[in-house]
This record gives sequence, structure tokens and C-alpha cells, in this order.
Amino acid sequence: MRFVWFWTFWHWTTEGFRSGALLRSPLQGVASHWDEWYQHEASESERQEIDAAGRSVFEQRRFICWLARRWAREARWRDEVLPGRYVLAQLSRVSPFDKWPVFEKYRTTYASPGIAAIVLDQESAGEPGDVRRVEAVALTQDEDAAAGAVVSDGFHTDSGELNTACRAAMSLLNGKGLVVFIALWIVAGVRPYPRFLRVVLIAGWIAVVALIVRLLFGSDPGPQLMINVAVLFALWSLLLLTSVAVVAALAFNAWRTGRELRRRMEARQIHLRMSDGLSVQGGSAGLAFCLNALLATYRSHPHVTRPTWLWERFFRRLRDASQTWAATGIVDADGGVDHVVLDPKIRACLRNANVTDVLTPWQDEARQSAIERVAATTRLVEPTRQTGGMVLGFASVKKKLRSHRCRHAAQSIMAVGDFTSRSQLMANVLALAVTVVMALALPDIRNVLTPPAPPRVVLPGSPSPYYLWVSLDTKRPDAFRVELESGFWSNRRSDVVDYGGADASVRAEMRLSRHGRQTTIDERDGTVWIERRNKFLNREFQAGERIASYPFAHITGLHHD
Amino acid sequence: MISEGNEEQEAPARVLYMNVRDGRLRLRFQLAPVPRSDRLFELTFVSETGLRPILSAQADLSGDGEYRVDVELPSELAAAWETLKVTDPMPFRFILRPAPDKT
Repeated sequence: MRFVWFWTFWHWTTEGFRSGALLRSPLQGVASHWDEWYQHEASESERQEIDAAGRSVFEQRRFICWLARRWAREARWRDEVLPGRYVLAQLSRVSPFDKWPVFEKYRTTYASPGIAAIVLDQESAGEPGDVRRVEAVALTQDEDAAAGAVVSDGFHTDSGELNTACRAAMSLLNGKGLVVFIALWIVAGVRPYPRFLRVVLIAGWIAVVALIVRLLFGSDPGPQLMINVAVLFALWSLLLLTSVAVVAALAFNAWRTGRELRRRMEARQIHLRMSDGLSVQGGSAGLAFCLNALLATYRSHPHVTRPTWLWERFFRRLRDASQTWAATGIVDADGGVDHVVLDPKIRACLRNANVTDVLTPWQDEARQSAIERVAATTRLVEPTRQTGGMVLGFASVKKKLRSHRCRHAAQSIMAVGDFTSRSQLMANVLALAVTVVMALALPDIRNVLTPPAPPRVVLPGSPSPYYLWVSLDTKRPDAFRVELESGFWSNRRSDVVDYGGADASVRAEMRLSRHGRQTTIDERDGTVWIERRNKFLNREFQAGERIASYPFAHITGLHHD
Repeated sequence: MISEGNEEQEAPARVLYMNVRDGRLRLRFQLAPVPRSDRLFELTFVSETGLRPILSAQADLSGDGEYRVDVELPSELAAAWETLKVTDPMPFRFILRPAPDKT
């Protein structure tokens, strides 16, 4: 077995932690523990073996490979695979590894790049170096009560700012922030439909609109009305059900996975690293810290998000964005993004060759047009590379920097995850408008598709001899119409209405006036017909089936009864 | 308490490692909240109960803002502190005086 001495150290540190001699866990305190063990606990032969491993670069490399690939998997801490790169970064600072050349690249990085923070040097007008690389790892939390939920590494800042960023990240995973994100996504977020299904759905909504227009403005469909209305209702229901089911399933999944990620984040300590030894004043790096805390949590448990399309898409894109995105903005615990000094930061991003996108608070200075104005007046600096003593110079090129303004950190999730879809927004507006129309038309659709039973004529009749009241025992007055045919009285047709007041009833009221060309002198002559009414919103179709008839004399006699 | 000339400053110390073995105390601690850059401190242990000095030692900076103490203990202190864990309330306080760097 190779590198037994490292196993001996690991045994010493785990036992030391279990026995209460060490405050920090073997993972959190690995550098300090190694220093103690190597300087004061290792035997002479172990020290010789370590020195032997450090004598050649080849052996040093072997040790690093062994530690990252084998030891990290086998050692485990609290049933979790150890973050090999973090351990290497920690060990790279202590003896004897601080003198091993192969540890050089681990001294400044955890190899977990995140969204860059824009932190200005004092009196900087916006230089490329103000865009600071931020790295984040999530480690298993120690029981140590004094250990904060977020730890800064390589820079100093107010722990309150870090904790606020962490709380904002938790809110985005499972809190108000998640609600805002889901709401934004529902309104304008791309859906995970395959291309053909997307086309079918859009075609479906257009067909619904066409049917509505046909019913409102087209020729009277006559006997085809029922088929038209049935097709319209079925299509609209299917589309609405599909949309609601997809949104509900994805949102529920996101909520459930977010809750799991939040639980894991709470059980972990987030280590944020910036290598410049800065003392960060103010909270303008809060948005970058918040996003990097999310990324660190995802990296520690990437399998958790796999079944959730929303989170998986966001985290994959966040991981890719870490090379080219920067962020600035003060976040509060609920994820609200507050204003910062922006002009020099925009200039810093423009001058930094790596940055293509910047997340900012909702400020005028961050409008795309404003950025293009700044870009036009900012001297851009291209990186110069040296090859064999030759300095390569590059002419200034126009740089495209995309700005993503956010009032809430949830909007940064939308931006990084590239969720915003104009076509989806338009489809949603169309679907909403159609649904409002359909909701208003639902009583009419119901009357056409499931007509109510024929009603009977009931009391009260009209108290006045100049009026005819035809009261019906129905709860759906919109479904009927009453028609009077008489040789003595003018023929009339009237809608059935639900009247309130002292003589409350569902009835049709008609004013009785004599016919201009009477065919009889019998004022009791006439028939009252009850017929079905076909309408769609304000469009009346030709009368439906006549379902009952009463002698005029019977109706007028009702009052006296 | 950190005593620098006429100035005195109080700061909590976080004990990271404590081991009493063969009559020697090995201790690592960190000063909060902001790590100091002093490489060496003269350290006086003051009894928590009697508020009297009980031990004197030197604390060396040992990477990442941690200070390390390695000192021989009187037998009664060794016996009393042998069972102490880092998470227990410590029966002592420190008075730290920055010492000139040996190097």
C-alpha cells in the first residue's frame, strides 16, 4: 500500500476529532491538523517517507493522483466522498506541500469556479482585475457552534453579508425566492416540450382562437353549432390541462428538490474563496456570493437535481456560466437585489476579456443601450500573451457585453438558466386571453352541450293585464327564450331573466299590445312557446328546439289562480 | 486579553486543538474575529476561578492565523487538564503580549 503515512495521519485526525482533542472536523481542519501531525506527531520514519515522496516531481504527482482519485473515495467522511480538490488546496499551504511544485496550481484555486464578483479596488475606475474569480465549496458542517454557515477564504468581509447571501440562496431553493422564480417561469419561462409538441400546442391554441372567431363573427352554423362548440371546448380543455399539468408537475418537482437542496445547504458550511486578500467593504458582491453558494450546494450533491428539469437546467448552465459571467448587487435575505455603484463595474467587465454577461441590479446604467454607450467610450484591453520572448499585441476590438438586470435574485436564475422565452410569453398571453374568453362563455357552452330539462310554467303571473309574465322553474334562465304567437296580440319574443324583488322569479316579461292586423277578436287567442336559446357570448344563433307550448289564456289565468 | 504597551484589547480565543500527554500541553487556538499578524506571543494562562496566573508559555503563529503552544505542565495541572476536550469550557483565560520575532 502506498502513502501509508497519509492514512496514519487521517486516522490520527479522525480519532482526535472523535475524542474531543480537535475542534474542527478532519475535513474542515485538514490543513491545521496536518500541520500538527506532521510537525509534532509523525514518527521519524514517516517523515522520511514523506520527504522521499517529495523528492521527485513524478512522486509528487503520484501522490496527488492517489489522493484525488483513491483516497478521497475510500476515506469518506460522514458517509460522503471527500472533496479531493479542496483537501489538496488546503494541504498546499502547509509544510512540506507548500514547497512541492506540483501543488502550485492548488494554492490559488479549489478548481470549483463560480460566477465572478466585481469588487473595485480603492479608487479604481474599472479595471479588468476588479472582476474577481470566486470559488465556492460546500463542506459538511461541523458541530462547532462558533463555525459560521459561510466562511470567507482568502478575503475578509462582514460575516453578516455572507450570511445574508446564504439566506437569499436558501430562499431561492425553498422560500419566497423560489415562489418568485416559479412565477417568473410560469409567465415567460421556456417549457421542456419536444419541438413537435411545441408546434402542436401552438397550432392548437391558434385553432381555438379560429373557432372562437368563427362562432362570434362567422355565419350561423345551424345544426353544426353543437359540434363546433364541442370541438372548441374539448380542444381548449386539453390544451389548458396540458399546460397546467406540465407547469404544476415541474413546479412541484422544483419545490421538492429545492427543499432537499436547502436541507443539504443548511447542513453544510459554504467556503467562498477569492484569492486577492481583499477586505471587501459593502455588500455589492452579495449576488455573486448567493449564486456561488447555490453552485457549491449543487456540486456537493449533483444527483439531487437530476429528476428536476428546472434545477438541472439552471445548475448546468450556472456551471458553464462560471467562466464568463460576473455579478454585482446587494441581496437581502429574501433575494431582493439592491442598487450599487455601477459605472466602473460595467467598465471593468468591458475591459475584462473573459466576461460576456453581467448580472446587475435594476438600474438605468445597466440598460443594454447604456452599456453600449460606455463600451464606445471605454478603451478595451485585450490580454497579451508571451511566446518565447515575443510579445503579441492585439488591436482593440469592439466587445459585446450582455447585461441582465434583476430586481430579484430569481431573475438571475432566469437569466443564467436562459429560461426567458419570448415565444412562450406570447403563447401564454394568447392562452390567457383565450381562457378568459372561454371562462366568460362557459355558461353558453354548457347550455349548448348539456341543455337543461324543459321547465314548467309556474307562478307568479303578471299582476297587470298589460303585461305577460311567463315564470319558469329553472335555474338556468340563459338557456331559454319565450315566444308569443297570437292573432290578437302583437307577436313577441323575450329572453328569460332571473328577477329579484317582491315578485322574484325566473321569467320572461312581455308588454301586451294589440296586433296591427288582427285576425281574431278573441283577446284570449294565442300560444306561448318555450324554446331553447343558442348563444355564444353576445352572438345569438337561430332559435333552438321548441320544447313546450301553453295556451295564452292559461298563462294569463295564472295570476288569478 | 491582548496587551500591547499601554493598550489592552479583549478578543475571544477559539481553542482548535488541545492535548495533554506526558506532562506536556499541546494547544492550538485562533483569535477572533480578525486574525492577527503577530508571529509570536508571550502567553500567560490565568485561572478562570482564582483569576491568578498559573502558567506561562510562548505561542507561535502556525499558519492561517492559528497559534500553537507546546509547554510542560505542572503535575497538578496536567492531571486536571488531561481529560479536557476542546468543546468543554476552558478553566483558564489568556493574557497575550506580542513578543519580538525570534527570527
